[in-house]
Amino acid sequence: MQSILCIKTGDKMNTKLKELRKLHKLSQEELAMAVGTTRQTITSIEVGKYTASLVLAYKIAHYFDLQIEEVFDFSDVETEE
Amino acid sequence: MMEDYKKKLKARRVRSCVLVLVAVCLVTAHILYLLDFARDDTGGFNDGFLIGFQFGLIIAIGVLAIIEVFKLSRTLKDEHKIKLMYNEEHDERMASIRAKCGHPLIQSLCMVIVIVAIVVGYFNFTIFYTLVVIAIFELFVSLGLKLYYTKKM
Repeated sequence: MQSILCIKTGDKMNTKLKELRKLHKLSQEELAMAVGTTRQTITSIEVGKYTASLVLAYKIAHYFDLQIEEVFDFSDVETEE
Repeated sequence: MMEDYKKKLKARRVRSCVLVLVAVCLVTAHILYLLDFARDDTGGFNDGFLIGFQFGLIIAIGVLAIIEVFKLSRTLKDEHKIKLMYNEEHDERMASIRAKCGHPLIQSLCMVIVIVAIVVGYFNFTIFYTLVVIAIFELFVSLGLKLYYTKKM
């Protein structure tokens, strides 16, 4: 699997979900259906408005056959109380 | 899992159909009562308002139930739509938004307030108006919070 670096931008939750989705030529709707969520949630995760739960993060990572930390960057979250 | 959900949707459709029937019966009873009320002409503005409020509420519940029946019937015909509805109802982001805007507590509370308001309305109109305003205010606050968190999250 091609590696894509996460870019840190302020308080946003960094993810390479959008890049992975484009790499696999998937629409947000298709990914949402595959992982059992809504298109709006995928959009929110991609733009960093919403932090996915562990279960959803696992489902997304599992779908792309990756580890969770390869899709999501939790380095900012770890420093939070 | 989807089969269980399908059964749930079918049960929900039956419940909505029952609600439509109850609403139709209540509307019929109300119309008969209204005809009697209009003929009698002894009630004041408040009596008329209370009856009108009840009538409007029953019609609103009936219309919402009919919409629900149509929506569920259309969804149950298509597996893709069932999956979409399942995802929407079990979406963790929406669950989080709902929790933040007080769902289902505020909606249940509003329902109780409206029922109490209707009962109290037969004895004291000031309390009736106050309770109705409180219920409407609560719903607006909940709606405002939902819109805010939908944009924020």
